[in-house]
Amino acid sequence: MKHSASSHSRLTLTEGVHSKQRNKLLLIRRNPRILIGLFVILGFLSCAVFAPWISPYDPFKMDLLNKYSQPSKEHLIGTDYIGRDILSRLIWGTRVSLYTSVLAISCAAAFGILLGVTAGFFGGKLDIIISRFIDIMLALPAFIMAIVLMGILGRGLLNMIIAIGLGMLPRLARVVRGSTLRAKENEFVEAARSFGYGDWRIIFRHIIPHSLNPVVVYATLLLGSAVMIEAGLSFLGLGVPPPTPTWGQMVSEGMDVMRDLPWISTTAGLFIVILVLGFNLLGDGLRDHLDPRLGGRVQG
Amino acid sequence: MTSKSLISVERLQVHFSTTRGLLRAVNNVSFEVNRGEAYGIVGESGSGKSVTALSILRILPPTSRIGFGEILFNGRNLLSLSDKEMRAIRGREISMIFQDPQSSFDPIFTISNQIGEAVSIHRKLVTKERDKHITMLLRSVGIPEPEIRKNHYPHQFSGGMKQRAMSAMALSNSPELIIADEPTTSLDVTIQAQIIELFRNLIKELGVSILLITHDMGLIAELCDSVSVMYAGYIVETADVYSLFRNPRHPYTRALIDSIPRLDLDKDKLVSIPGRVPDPLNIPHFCVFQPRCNFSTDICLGGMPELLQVREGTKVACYRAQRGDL
Repeated sequence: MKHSASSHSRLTLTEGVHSKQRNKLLLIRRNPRILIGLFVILGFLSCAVFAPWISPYDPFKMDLLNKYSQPSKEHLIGTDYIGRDILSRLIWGTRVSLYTSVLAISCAAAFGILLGVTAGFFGGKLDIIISRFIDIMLALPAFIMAIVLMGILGRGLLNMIIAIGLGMLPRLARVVRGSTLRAKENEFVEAARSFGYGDWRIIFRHIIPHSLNPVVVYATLLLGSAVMIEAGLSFLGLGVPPPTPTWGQMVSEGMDVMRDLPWISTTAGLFIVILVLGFNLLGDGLRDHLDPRLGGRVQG
Repeated sequence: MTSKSLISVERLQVHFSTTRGLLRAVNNVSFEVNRGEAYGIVGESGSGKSVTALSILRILPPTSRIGFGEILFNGRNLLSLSDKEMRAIRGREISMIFQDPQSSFDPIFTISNQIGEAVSIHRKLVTKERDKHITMLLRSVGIPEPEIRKNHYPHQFSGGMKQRAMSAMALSNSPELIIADEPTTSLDVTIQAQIIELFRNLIKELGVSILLITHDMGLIAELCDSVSVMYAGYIVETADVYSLFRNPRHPYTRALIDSIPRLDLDKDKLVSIPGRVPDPLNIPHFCVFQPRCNFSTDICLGGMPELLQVREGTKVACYRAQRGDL
């Protein structure tokens, strides 16, 4: 159903390469959330990549004589409790947020796809075992699970990626299992088998590409959650240890002086909100774009 | 078995376990396909003809069980091969054409990509040779401009062209047997005729055997040399195509042939067979056709008749036909 719908729209809308490209642009224009989301994420991505060049100060450089300074020409958002430039730390903090969320979700997606596809494709006892395992993991809220895991594993970037990734894995696996069940009903899967394809060849060639759409959408939305969890862990002091700048930690540092210097917590919080919003906008936009049931609306 | 025989199915039995009980899809089915022959299996939906086809390649769904029987292909029993040996046979020695060409290609790959993959599973060819092979295949099934068309996606092909491409894919490793499961059902009549013509050429020029699964008596008459008629999981009659149409012995075969719409006879109404196919979960222990049969007597209630030879080349599973009553 999905394919006939999408191929049909392609059939009627593509006469040549040019109109195909224009069609794609049109879709993005009609679905501006993708564009806004991408814009926000690319903005933060360039912050992270070019942090050493665009941040006005060294984020680790203390200036104890100049602590808690008000926003000024020298320090646009002021300085923190040991005189480090807050704007620079915010820019550098992008790195931790993006790095952990993207890596955690990538790992969760890779293992989730493998687990979900195995369960959905082979079915039977294997499916029952994997599905119950997923259910058990889903019973624990991702954030609580991350806190517990960080307690066990100890602070650190890699541990945080594991802790967040493990919480996201069952969610993605369940989505993949569902779309695998749908994908394997296609006649070309039976045809592939009749041509002597092995199970894994069918999985990698026909099943995974056809169950990827919902994974892409869901993973994008989960990126937002991952950023939130990362910030939450850092806020609680369970994240990457200082002095590495992270947004969650900065929110927590600003709490002490919230009444006098409200911008420390709020700017860091604002950065978190905007990044999460960016991921959610992109995810929502992609869902509308890829969901054939909404095809009519997207195409106007 | 003579050396003429390519594949012979012996007393094949396939059951499905369902939540409502045991579904006896194929019962005691035996037939034999010779080299270079087009063999037809004809029957209504649910008669077990597709299951028979799938069990030859052993690609039945996991809920099924092949109870007993033998499928001898070139002297090897396919049912006793390992999964790996079986994979080497699929697509290489036996390949299959499916009912719906719209969905038997994956929409996200080009035709040449998919045929190329089917080739490369069984043979290592360098890219250039494989490309040439694909072009040659597509040309041989009558696709115009194969050099250009092969790089197109399935949705850019019409139904008939897609079925041709599917045939090319089935031919890609020069198999000895092609199983065609309702290959023309989703095509319109003129395209059907072209596909039949294509199959005829394949038999004549390449010497492949075709096992045609269909519900269309017309298609059988056009293409096949021998036919088995299936009903409720049993073969009720096996004959060469001329005897079957001229002198059908089983009451079901007669009814089927009578129900072919004809323009040359002055009939107002389409003939249909009264009653319904028995519930596959609850197949009678007597002759399966008895409830719908106009000729049934008490003898028909004494178990399902065996498929016995009544004359040279004709076997029938009907007590009365075997006694010579019909």
